[in-house]
Amino acid sequence: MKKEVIFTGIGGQGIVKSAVLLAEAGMLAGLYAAQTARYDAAARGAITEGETILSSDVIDFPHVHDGDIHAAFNLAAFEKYNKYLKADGVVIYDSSIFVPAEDSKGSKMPIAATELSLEKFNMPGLANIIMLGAISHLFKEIEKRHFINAIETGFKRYIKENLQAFALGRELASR
Amino acid sequence: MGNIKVTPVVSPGRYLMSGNEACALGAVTAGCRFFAGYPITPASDIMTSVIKYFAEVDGKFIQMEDEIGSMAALIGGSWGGIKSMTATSGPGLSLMLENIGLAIMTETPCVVVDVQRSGPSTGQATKVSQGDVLQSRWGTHGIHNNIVLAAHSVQSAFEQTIKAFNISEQYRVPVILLLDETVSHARETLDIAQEYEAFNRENKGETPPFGGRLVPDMPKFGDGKKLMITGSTHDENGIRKTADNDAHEKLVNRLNDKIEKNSSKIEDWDEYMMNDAEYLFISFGISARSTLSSVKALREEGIKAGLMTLNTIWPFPYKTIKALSLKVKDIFVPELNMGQIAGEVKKISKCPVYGINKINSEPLYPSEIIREFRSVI
Repeated sequence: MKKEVIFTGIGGQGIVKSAVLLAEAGMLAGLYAAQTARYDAAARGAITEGETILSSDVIDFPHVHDGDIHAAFNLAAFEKYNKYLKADGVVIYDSSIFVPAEDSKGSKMPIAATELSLEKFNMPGLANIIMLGAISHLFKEIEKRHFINAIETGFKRYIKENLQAFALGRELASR
Repeated sequence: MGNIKVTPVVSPGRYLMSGNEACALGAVTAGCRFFAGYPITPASDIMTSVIKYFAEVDGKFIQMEDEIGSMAALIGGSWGGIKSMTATSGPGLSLMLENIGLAIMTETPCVVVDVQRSGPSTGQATKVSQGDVLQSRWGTHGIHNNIVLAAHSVQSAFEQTIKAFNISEQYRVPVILLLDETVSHARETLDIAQEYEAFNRENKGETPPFGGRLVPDMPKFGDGKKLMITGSTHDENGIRKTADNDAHEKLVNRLNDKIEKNSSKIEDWDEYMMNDAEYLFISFGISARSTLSSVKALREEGIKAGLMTLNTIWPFPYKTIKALSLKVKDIFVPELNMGQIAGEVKKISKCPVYGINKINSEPLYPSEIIREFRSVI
């Protein structure tokens, strides 16, 4: 098994954090994990990319070049990095922020993550965890408890809200 | 003194950790208890991680006013008998070079981690490069020899940091460990064992501090004897000999010989399918990871490719590569610079050598390496 995920958006949206949590959950499930990121010196507000590779074998090269999943939170970032998605990959995008061009690579799965985060939790900052919940549904190899464990150890505050956001995203994807 | 067994400060098991965090853990495992540094991307989290571990092992940390001061503090810390370390990136390494020369001349064991980023000058702080290969060897002035290691993964960052300390203590030299932005910021699974081997400098009182054998005993401040430590030419006891040509020749020869005569023990590389290789790839750091992926893809097509991943950059394995160049058809050297390792390979190779280079602050992708390979073959 090998799956490669790209997370793109702008600094401050929790792009790298999402990639780290996915890697942590994969590692807890006994997989090899590699997580990398690309961002500018002024990370907040600039285009940011996070990558996670999970594999049952040792990972040769830690960057994604044939992504299975692209989780996108911003149009400019999506357009910059969607080249690393496989032709038959899946794009999960925050539909409350942008809509990818119809002819762009990948089958599309809209999740109104930011809108839902504002509606349910009165803050936009849980959009990335709602998305992580949706992504987790595509990882049958990783039990839910490993994601929960990664979230519980990955945050110092708002742990309850993050767990609720994760459950919401997972449920949305299962529909 | 000599070889000892050490226990890591974390429990044995599997962790998800960045290369920088693994480097810090390796340092503390090897016995590092003094860190002097100045923050710089992409090396700062080595410093912050070391501080975290120092709280548990009673280490001492100083944030210095700059990298010149950091390197000077390292020399002082080491002569105080404490394993000492700093971490920086290219712009900081440039500032440290003068005192790295002082550490070479005064035979001061210490470890300098250089997380390579795009340069020259401040360049692109968050972007990857491998442009410091020659600077790490030749940056400081004068006739000198030094040891430079490299790491290509989070696991290797942990293990190479321990090794950097061990070699540094064994040969009484500063050791530079080259990481790169990708290896240092990437998080990967890291397996920690029950115990590791460490080396502590010899201080048996058998030799004067600067002579008597290739690697003399190293006393420390507070041992009770007079100790003179100078960057000027000196005799076995550290007495300045700035007008004595024979003393200078003898000293500089020994400083070079202690590395040169032990080079076969210090040189180190990983091999992947090199035995029957017709096309040899030589690489290091993150580029070796890209190359490994490329070599596997070429093998699947039936092309006999092999990879030599350099763990020690300096001393450079000239003899081994020369012998290999007589067996293979071509050598390819992927690296994120304009051919710094390739230049060394070309010096001694008997077959054609091709550089595969990239300098746009992105890592080499396996597909790019294969494309360059096909443009030649």
